Amino acid sequence: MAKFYPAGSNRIHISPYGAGVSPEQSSALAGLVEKQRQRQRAELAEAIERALEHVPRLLRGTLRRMLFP
Amino acid sequence: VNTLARRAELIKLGRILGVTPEELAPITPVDATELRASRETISAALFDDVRPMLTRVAKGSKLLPTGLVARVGQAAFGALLCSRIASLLAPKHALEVALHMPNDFLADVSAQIDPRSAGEVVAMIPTERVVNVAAVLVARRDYVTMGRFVDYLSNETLAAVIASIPDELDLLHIATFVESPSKLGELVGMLPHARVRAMIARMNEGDGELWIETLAIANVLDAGWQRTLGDVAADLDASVLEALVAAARRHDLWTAALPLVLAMSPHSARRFIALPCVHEPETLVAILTSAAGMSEGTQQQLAELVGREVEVLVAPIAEALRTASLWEALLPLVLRIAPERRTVLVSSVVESSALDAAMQKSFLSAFLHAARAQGRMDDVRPLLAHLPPHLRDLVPAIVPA
Repeated sequence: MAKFYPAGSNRIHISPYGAGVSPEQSSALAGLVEKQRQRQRAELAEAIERALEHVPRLLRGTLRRMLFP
Repeated sequence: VNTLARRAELIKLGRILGVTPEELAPITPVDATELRASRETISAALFDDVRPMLTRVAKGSKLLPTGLVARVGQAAFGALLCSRIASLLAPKHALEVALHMPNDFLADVSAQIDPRSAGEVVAMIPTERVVNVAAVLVARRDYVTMGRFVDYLSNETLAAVIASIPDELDLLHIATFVESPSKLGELVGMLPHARVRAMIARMNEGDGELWIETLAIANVLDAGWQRTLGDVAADLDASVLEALVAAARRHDLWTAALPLVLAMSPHSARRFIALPCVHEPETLVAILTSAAGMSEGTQQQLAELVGREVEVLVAPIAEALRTASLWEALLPLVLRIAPERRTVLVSSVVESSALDAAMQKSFLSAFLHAARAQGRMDDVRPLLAHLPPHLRDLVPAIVPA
């Protein structure tokens, strides 16, 4: 079916559809992948901020520098 | 059967994309194999998209006490991100973190994680903990996740999980989603015979879905196991085999059901052949039509079974021939039957006492035309010598030499 591959850091591209899958179906699937990619990035960013709140204050700065070099 | 595998793949891909299988189905008109390949590619691409940040999170977790990492993982990251991070941790560290997490959350992570990337960790989790997480997954009826992990658990742990699940249908649903055929064979082999029997005894429940699952499993097991399952089914109440026939008819599953029937011992196969629902024209037509497209070996096995049970089948076949143009499908099978039994079948069917003279002529005509169309007249001629004179005399008019 479709092939996906990361292109740079901004988007996961979807290759042209395979046999039996229409361009519309292929595009709809690519849309779901892209939506999930964006959701995943947002959730990760939020999760890291939430996680840092649980970390002892003394370690927080060190960890933040590790996570956001 | 293929529908079942596709359904499992839609569930797995849906989890990765955060959508339901129903949303995915219309936009992925491909089989389970292609869906699986797409799932793996999409999952890897999504993972790669956040891998650099997750790698930094994994490194940072080493600075914190394991218990705190487990609490933060559950409270801040959630199951999906934890499953991603787990595969970036050293297996021993991942195990320590996992053991600090409650069973419910581990069940959530299990549903998201790719067992291939966490196989080493999964194999190290103590049996008692696996049994507890399995209990959560069974309560949620999350058989897809359980089936995926079977490949990565030791037989000792699997045996403990099996013993902890009291309902045989739960075991059936889990087995349906096991991905490795060899592991599936091992899993079925761990079931005590009494539990296999209890499972098959419930095949007459519902609308045939249980037989679909059983056939999906049976089709990847060896002939020995197929025989065991078939013999168990035949030894139970007739309603179990009747449910098999009904499911095969309703869902067009004879290519999956026939191997199970043909693997049965002769005694069990005779019980199947004797079922009134097998004698119905719709069933016979469906069986013969399906068999025509199956392997040479399967067709030969079916011919041997029909040859053994000719006397029981003559009347039903004659009845089926009244309602459907069946000789085309029947002829190749007939010609595989041992000559003596083949003669009994053809002459008995054509000469059937239930038919009037016009119908006998019509049967003979259809038989001969099918033989000529398939270029099998030389094989058929010896049979004609065994027909009664009044039918034999009709042959030259039907197929001039």
